[in-house]
This record gives sequence, C-alpha cells and structure tokens, in this order.
Amino acid sequence: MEVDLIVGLEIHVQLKTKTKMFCSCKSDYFEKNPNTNVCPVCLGLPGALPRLNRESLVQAIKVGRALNFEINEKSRFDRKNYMYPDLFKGYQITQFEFPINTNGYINLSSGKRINIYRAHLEEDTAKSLHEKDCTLLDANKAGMPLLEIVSSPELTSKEEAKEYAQKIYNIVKFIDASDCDMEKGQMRFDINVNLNIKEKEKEFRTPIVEIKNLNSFRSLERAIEYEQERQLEEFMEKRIVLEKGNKVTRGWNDTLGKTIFQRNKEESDDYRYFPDPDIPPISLDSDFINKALDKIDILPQDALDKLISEYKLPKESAEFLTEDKIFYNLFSDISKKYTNYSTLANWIITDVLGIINQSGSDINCLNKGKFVEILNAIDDKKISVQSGKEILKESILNKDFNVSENINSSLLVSDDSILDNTIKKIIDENSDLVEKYLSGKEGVLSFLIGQVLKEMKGRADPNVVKEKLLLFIKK
Amino acid sequence: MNISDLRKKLDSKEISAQEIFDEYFKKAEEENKKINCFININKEYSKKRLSKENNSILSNIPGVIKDNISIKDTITTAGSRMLEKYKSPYTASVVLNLKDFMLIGKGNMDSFAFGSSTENSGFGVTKNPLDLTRVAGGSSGGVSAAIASKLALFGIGTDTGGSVRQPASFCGVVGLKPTYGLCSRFGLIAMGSSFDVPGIITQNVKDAAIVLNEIAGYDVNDSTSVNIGKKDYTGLKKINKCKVGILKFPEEGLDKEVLEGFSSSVNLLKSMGMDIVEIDMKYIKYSLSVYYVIVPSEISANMSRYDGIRFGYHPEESFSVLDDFYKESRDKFEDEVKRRIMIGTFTLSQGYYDAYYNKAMKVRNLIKQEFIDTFKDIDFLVSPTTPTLPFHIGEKTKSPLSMYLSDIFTVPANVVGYPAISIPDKKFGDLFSGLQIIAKPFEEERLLSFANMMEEKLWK
Repeated sequence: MEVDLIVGLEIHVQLKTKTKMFCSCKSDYFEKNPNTNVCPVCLGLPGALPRLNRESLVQAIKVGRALNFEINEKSRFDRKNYMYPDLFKGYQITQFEFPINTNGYINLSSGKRINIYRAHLEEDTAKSLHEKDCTLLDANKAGMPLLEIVSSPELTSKEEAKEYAQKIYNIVKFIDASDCDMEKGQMRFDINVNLNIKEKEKEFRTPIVEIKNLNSFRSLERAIEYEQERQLEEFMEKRIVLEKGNKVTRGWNDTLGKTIFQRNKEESDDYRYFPDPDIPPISLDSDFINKALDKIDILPQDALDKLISEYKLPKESAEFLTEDKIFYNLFSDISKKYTNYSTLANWIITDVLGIINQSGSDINCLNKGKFVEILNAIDDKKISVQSGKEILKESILNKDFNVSENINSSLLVSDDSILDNTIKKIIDENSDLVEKYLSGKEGVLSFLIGQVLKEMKGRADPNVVKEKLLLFIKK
Repeated sequence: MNISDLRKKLDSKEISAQEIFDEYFKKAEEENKKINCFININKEYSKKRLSKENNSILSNIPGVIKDNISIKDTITTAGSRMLEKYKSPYTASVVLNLKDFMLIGKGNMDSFAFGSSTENSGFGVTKNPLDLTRVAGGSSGGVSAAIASKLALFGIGTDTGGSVRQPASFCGVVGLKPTYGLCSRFGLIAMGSSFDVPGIITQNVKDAAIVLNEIAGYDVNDSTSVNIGKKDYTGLKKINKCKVGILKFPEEGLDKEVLEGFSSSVNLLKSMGMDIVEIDMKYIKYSLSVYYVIVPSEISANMSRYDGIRFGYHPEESFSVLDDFYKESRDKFEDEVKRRIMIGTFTLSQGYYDAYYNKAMKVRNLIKQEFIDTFKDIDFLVSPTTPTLPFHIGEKTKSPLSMYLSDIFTVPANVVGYPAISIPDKKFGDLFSGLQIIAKPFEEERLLSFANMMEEKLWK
C-alpha cells in the first residue's frame, strides 16, 4: 500500500493599508476598545455603501508581482452570501469569478514549483468573543482588507506545506504588503487535506478535510501530520472515499493536538455569489499597475541574487539576510559605507541580531554610523574583535554610550613591553599547563591565550598574543 | 403655493418660519389621521431645527422624506416592523444636500419599498387623498399622498421600479426618477441596488427642478454615483421641435381612462408640431421579468443584515441555537419581504443561477442596447405611467402578479437607468391618469423643460 498526501493551502493575509477596505476607519484597531473603530459602512448599517480603498488594490498588485501572478486589469467584487453574527451585512464582499491575481507560483528549495490558483481581495469579518452564556461581537476589524492566496493542491508533505507557507510569509512581508503578525491574526491558514491511497492496483481518495484558521507554522505542520494519520485510520476502518458533497470541516485544537469534526460542507456550500451592484467593476490601467509596482523597491528573489552575485556573499548568508526586509535594508544601507561585505554580513547575522534577540531590544537601536566606526577600528587593528563586540553591545543597549571614547580606551596596547610582561606573568602562573603543552597537549594553548587577553582586558590582538606566547614558551 | 412663492414670502418676512411650522404641522397631524401618510411626524425634531438663516433655497421649506431614507437621530423604519425602533446614527447624502429644510414627517411606504400600494406597510395602508377608498400607490405612497394633500412642498422618495412615478400618478402629482448615478444612494435603505434611485415628488415640474438642483451631484460615498459636474436644472427652456417616441403597447388590461388620457396627450403633441414616431421595441416587454429576477436577487442579499443582532427586531428570550434565533427575529418581516427573499435566494442558487440571474442580466443588457438604439432617433419616449387609475384598497392584495403588472410602464426606465418623469395627464372625476416621459441618461435638464411645457399645455 502506498499513501500519498495531498495538501492545498488557503492563506489569508491582512494587507497593510491606512484604512479599512471599504470605509475610512483606521487599520490600527489592535488593542483599541471593542467597537470604537467603526462607522455605518463597516457596521453594515441600513443604507451604508462600500467605497473601495485603492490602497488595497496597490498591495494586492504588489503581492501579485512577487508571487508571479498574472495581474488582471479587469476584476470584480462579488457578494458571498451566508449568515453568521460576525458577518454584519449577511454577505461578504469578495472576488469570486474575476479575482485580481490569477495563475501564480513559487518554487520550493527543492526546485519544485507550487502553482497558486489565485489571490483575491475580500473583507474581514468582526470578531466573536464567546462568553459563558452569550457571544459578544467586536467590529473593530470588520472590513479590514484581506488577500486570500489559494494554492493548488500540489503540496505532498507537511514539510512542503510549511516551507510553502513560510516562503509566502517571507515574500509578502519583504515587499511590505503585510506585517504578517500571526499573533495579531494578520496571517492565517486554511488547509485542505486528503490522501491518495494505492492498494492492489487500485487507487482511492479519502474525503477532503478542511481545517480553518490555523495561526502558526507549527500548528499547520501538526494539523497535517495528525490528519494524515487519522484519515488513513479512518479509511482502513470505514473505506469511505471522496465523493461530491462529502467534504468535511474539522477544527484544530492546539492543546489536544487533534482535529475535531465541525460540520459537513454539503449543506452550507451554496454561497449564492453574484456581482456586488454597489461596486463598479475594477478596471486598472497600466499606469496604476506600474505605480503600484514601483512601490516594491526590490523583490526578495532579486535581493538574494544581488547579494550572491554582486556582494559575493555565501548563499546561506544571503538567504538569511533576505528573509526579512529589515535585515536586507540594514545590510544594503551599511554596505554603502563599509565594503568588506562578508565581514559585514557575518557581523549583522551573528552579532547584531544575536545581541538584539538576546536582549529583546529593537533593531532600530543600532546606530549604523557607530557600527561602521567599530568595524573600521577593528580592521585598522586599533581594537580587538572582542573589544569591538563589547562596544557594539553596549552601544545597542544604551543609546548614550560613547563609541569613539570607548574605542580610544580599548586601543590595542602598542607598547610591547607591557604585553611581554603579561605573557611572562601568565606563563609563570601556569607552569603546569606550559609543561603539558610542551608534552604535546596543544589544546591548552588557547586557554593560555585567553588568560593573556583577559589580563590585557581585550586590548591585545589574539594573533600577536599567540605568536609571542609560542616564542616565550619555546625560550 | 410653490417653492419659489414660499421662498419669496420667507425672504421678504411676509411669513416666518415659525408660522410655517405651526401651519404645516397642524395640518399634517390632522390629515395624517385620515390618510395615514406618515410613519412618524417629526414635529419635535424640526422644532429644534428651525433655521434662523435663509441661506439655501430650501431653508425652512416643508418637505417629507420617505421612511427608507436615513436621517440622523430619527426613527427610520423602511415601512417595516422589523425596524420599528431603529434610529439611524447618520444622514443620507441626499438629505444632507437639502440642508436646512423643514422635515414634516417620514413617509409611509410598502415594507422595504416592496410593493405598489403601501398595502405592504407594517404601519397600515396610506389612503389616496383624492378618494379615500383607493390606494395612493407605492411604494412612495405616503410621500405622494402628503404632497397631494399639500402637507409639504416637496417629497423625496425612492424609485426602484416606479415607486416614485406610480404613486405620483395615482395622487395626481409630479414624480421624477433621475438617471441612475445622478443622485447619491448613500443612506437609502437598499432594495434592488442596481435599480434604486432617490426620486422627487412635487406639486409641479418647476418645484421638482428646484429640488433636483439641490440633491443631484457626485458623492464619494456612493461608488455608483457619476461625476458629471454641477448643472442647473431650473432654467426650464421652451422646446420648440423635437422627436417624441410613442411607445407601442398592447392595450389589453389598460383602463379606458388611461388610454383616453394618453391619446389626447399624443394629439396635443402633434398639434404642438412635435415630430411623432411610433416606437415598437422588441425587448422592452421582458423588463418586468428581468426586474423580478434581478431585484429579488439583490434583495435576498440586502435583507440579510436584518438579523436582529445590531438592530432590527431582537427577540427577548435567549437561544442556544443560532438558527432558532434567526427564525424568531426574521419572522418579523412582512409577507412580501419574505416572498422576495425566497425568490431571490432561489434565483441565485447553484444550478439556477445561469437560468435565472445570469440570463436576466443578459436580457437586461439587450434592453439597454435597445434603448441606446431607440434613443438615437428620438429625444423622448412617452407612455402612460400606469395601466390603471388608482385601484381600491384590497383589490389586488390577493394577487401579487396583478400588483406587479401595475409597474409595467415604469420598470423599463429602472432596468436601463434612464431618467423619467410622471405628470398628471387627464382628470377623471377626482382621479388622474399619468403621463410618463423618459429621456436620455443625464438629460434631466431637457426632460424637465419638456415636462414643464407639457404641464402648461395640459393644465393651464
């Protein structure tokens, strides 16, 4: 028996715009008091009409380009009819028949191309808060612009699905079309999973299961893994195969690590889509599209290529720096003033980001000018690498930290006699280790170097120390 | 009394706003008891808003607004018990454009504007002031009856398939349906969104022109409104010679008075030296079918927001199952509303969409093209406004189809979005037949000039 997994992903991305999709309510609703970020339009009051925010078109076009879509000059908004308390008009304005983006793709690291059917615009719903004996509604996010990115079901493992989702995340974030903050619900996944089972020359497909609203890569992976096992078990036991109308919706319970049956899709499948008479069809001229595309200064793939071919960075470093536009911007900004590119890349990846992650501070705390000053001091052999790292750390953590002064007070000691005396002192204090070294245990040398550097408070060049240390030992 | 005369009296201080207030509200309260033309009389509201200035042409001029048009802090029911207590927190754009007019009352109407007689109102039928045993027409029956009773100088209604022109005709007043997109729909409680327009009901054509001047104009809040720049509609001109199309229609089912009135108008046009062309349109007869597929489709979605959660009828008891809650809250809809929601839900359903909605959209385009072609040769298209004189209350309530047929002449203009006006054609006892004139899109200026001329010839 051979079992193949079939996964398709629908990714909802909240687009970054100043206002909601069809009204002038602000987009920064997060943490505002419930129902304070509302107006007649997003509340769906009688008589209110939608007014399309062109900014959401711009963001959709940017994503269209970044994910290799055909960007359609003609598109349309439709009404998707279903009644639920969080959907105030009783229909959602979405794009059904003529979405703005069609036929896109991305390539996975294996080289496998994943086709993406479409990416269409739609409005977000209100938020339901289920209390013990009632449900409360908060309309602050009602009417936020969403882009739904629908992949073809070509993903064949949980790893592929995760990589696909992460790539979309990186790309959309890189072009600043969304902040993709999953904790704020700015990116969420719906997955469709089923199995293709080959058994004694026969093939079976299990019913498609849709799992909605996954909000982390981890839960995406776990839900697929769980479903794969569950569906196989179910098939072995009941032998139910895919038919028209037996699609099922299951919910992911992260605590239990299980999917739980919610409903059969057959009854609710008819959304009675029809063109929204309140919004004239969208007709984008090439000028509008070009202006939107101009807002992408560089696509992540182009940025990667540039780092490898122009800056000669190793692939891993280049990939790391293009994972987030902030890293890339940091590198390209500083590279205008500091041209030892691979050193720069290493410093950013290991030291700058290391310090920031560890201390929980912000990347904006890094002063680029001071950073370059430190790097130059190291290159000019004014200070040791170790001193440089310490100064960098202090300068990030404390904005008033005086870098120039500290470089000056950490200058490598140029007076040979001081270093010589220190080395002699260390050799004397560690005569046992020196013996060991001489008897062939070369590993102890680095300890001795460390002791010297410590004594010198970092103001010595490790290479010089090593050289001298060997010289003195052999004397 | 017309708007210009009252304006002059106000400006020359011959009469004060307070005097107008006292006179009109007294009359409104009395008459409303007889004809039930208002769902609410806004006396307290207007008392606080008497304008000290006379800045705009409509300052302190009494007007009535159909109750499906939102006005901040007033009850806006759309004629339905569903919204019996709904207070709008905002004002419709057309009402904002009327500035500091004096709101006398909110006009009675068929629930959500679904109907042609106000018999579908959740607040009782409006009686025709010309004959209290007859309907005032609908759905803007309350506004039309109020204007006919001279309870205000102008009224704003809405017209989806004739809801301004038909009741105006029944009440012997003027009803103007502007081009789709000329006046903002923002704040109008939607019925058939691609058909709905705000309309004007007045005692004469000149007043309609004055009001149109105020309410017409592009509105960013309505994406279907069209920016054609500001025009002056009040400079009514004499039209010496033009081509008038006479719509050919089957005479079956038409009242003899209506036919008589219409043929005398045609003769009048001839005697005026107008170029008369008989127009036989192939697709226009499908207008009503198109209307009764697309409008209910749009209605079925437009009505979904009345779920009783944020507004509308909210049942007192609590429910654990959502569907039970909806069953209770949505049962408050009047029968005609339920009927149209069901029709529209059906026509949009999977497997029926192509046969109904999609086909109706295609036919709608054919009718539009036919109008474009027809209007290449003519300036105006005339017909009766309604096939019958006002019918008796209760006469057609048992048969929705015969009720639907009363819109047969008015619906085509909504299908294609053209402007149309109804003016009183001929008097029969206390009642009037109506003459409908349709013009090219955004040619309200010529339409009003022509209608004004006809009005003078017919009645002076």
